[in-house]
Amino acid sequence: MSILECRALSKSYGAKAALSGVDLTIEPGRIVGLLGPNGSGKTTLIKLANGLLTPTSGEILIDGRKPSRATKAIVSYLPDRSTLPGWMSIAQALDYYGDFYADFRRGVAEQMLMNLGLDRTQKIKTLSKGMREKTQLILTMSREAKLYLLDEPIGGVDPATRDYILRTIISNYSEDAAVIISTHLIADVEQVLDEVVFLREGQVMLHESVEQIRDEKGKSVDELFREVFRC
Amino acid sequence: MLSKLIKHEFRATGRIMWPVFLGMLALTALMRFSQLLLNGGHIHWLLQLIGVLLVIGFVLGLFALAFAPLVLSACRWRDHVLKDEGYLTLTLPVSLHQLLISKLIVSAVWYAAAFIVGLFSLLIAASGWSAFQYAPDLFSDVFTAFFGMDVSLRGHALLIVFELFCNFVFAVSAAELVVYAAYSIGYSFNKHKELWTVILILVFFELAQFTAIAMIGLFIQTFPDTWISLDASNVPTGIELLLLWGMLGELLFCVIGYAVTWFFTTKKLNLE
Repeated sequence: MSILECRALSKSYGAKAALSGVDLTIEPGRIVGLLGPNGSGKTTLIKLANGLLTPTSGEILIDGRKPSRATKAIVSYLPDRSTLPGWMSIAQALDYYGDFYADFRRGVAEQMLMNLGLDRTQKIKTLSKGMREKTQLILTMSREAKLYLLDEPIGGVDPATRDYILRTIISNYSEDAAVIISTHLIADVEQVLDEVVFLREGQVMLHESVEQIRDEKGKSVDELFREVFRC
Repeated sequence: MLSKLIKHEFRATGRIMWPVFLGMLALTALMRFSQLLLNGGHIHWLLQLIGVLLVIGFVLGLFALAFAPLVLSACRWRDHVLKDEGYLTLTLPVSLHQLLISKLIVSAVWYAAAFIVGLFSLLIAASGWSAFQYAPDLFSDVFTAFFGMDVSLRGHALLIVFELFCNFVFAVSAAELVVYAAYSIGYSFNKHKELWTVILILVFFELAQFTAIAMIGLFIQTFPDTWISLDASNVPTGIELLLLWGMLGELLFCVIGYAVTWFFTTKKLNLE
């Protein structure tokens, strides 16, 4: 069974269509790049998968079910912003995840935090932007989820932090899980992707494996993206 | 999951409420101390000014105490659900019903605590610490009076206490839910979210006042005998009916507030 399935999925904000008639299937065990320029509908798709938005028409299924409490228990989501309350300490954030997510591996999270040299008593608000993003990524990837939805995980961080984030993603997701990474920084993520989905104005333009793109088109994903989305 | 939500809600709100309670008690003690000094004869004008300011601060503190749980709960709903934290909160494997109920329970507990702290503060302000030595006598007097009552009156008294308790819970919940509803609608707009929220809060509370007046009128019309021939025999029944009527009104606002909040948070959520 596919882990994520969209059937004629559409979402409009008033008169403006953010997604229109998206048909998409993602299988477990794949790292998928959700690529497209700003405003192409990447974040909307991820929000729909998380149940933060409801579709205007069509449906989105996670592991065969509509977004619900049950699907939230198997989806690990990294939003494109800092969502941990500033007053919380890192230890309290670990408690929070541990209390609500049965698949949270506290030991793994603590080990990763220790490697970063973070003090567990430190408040989230005292962390730098980069450290906050790393902490949030560690919490997200410390779950043994079936689907990881990472919205712009490397946006707005320095190259060294990007490498750290990508290493963390690759070394922590389970083989049976799917990872969807939404980004427009293609060159940085290309090395870790199995498949790519190109979104343009709310529609899927292309859904192919990275290998196919390289073998059949003789191009890197970054080159193909620049070609397809040339202004 | 409800118990975990409650635990984390207490953790998040306790860091504000405990200092508020401690601050209020400290302010009361200071005010009482200054009053004792001021009663002691000729006092420097500066100390007198400080004493007056402490009394004003005490009164303002009581008002703040009365509104603190509601204000905190409203801000918490905004920050925890409708702003960036909402990305985390609304993707937890819990239902919105559990989330709402946890917030209402925690808020009701803080209201009860604020009521007790307010009562303590008033007692200290009115008669000082020495008044507390009479507290056990007060309780024993209440018990003696209760068991000295006629059996039928005892039933009425218990029912009235129960209804007062329910009224307290429903009133607190209705106020919270109306504010949550205003926030949920206000934050569904793309612009001027806070302004919309403030306008909606004012409109909703105005509507609540009109409804309360209409319900009182309806009550008098529905049960005219209770009030026209008011005598000792039907006073308890009249109070019970009035409290029940009040509860119905509060429940109505709870249901409307809950439904609006639920609808706008699930169907019209507009996280940035």
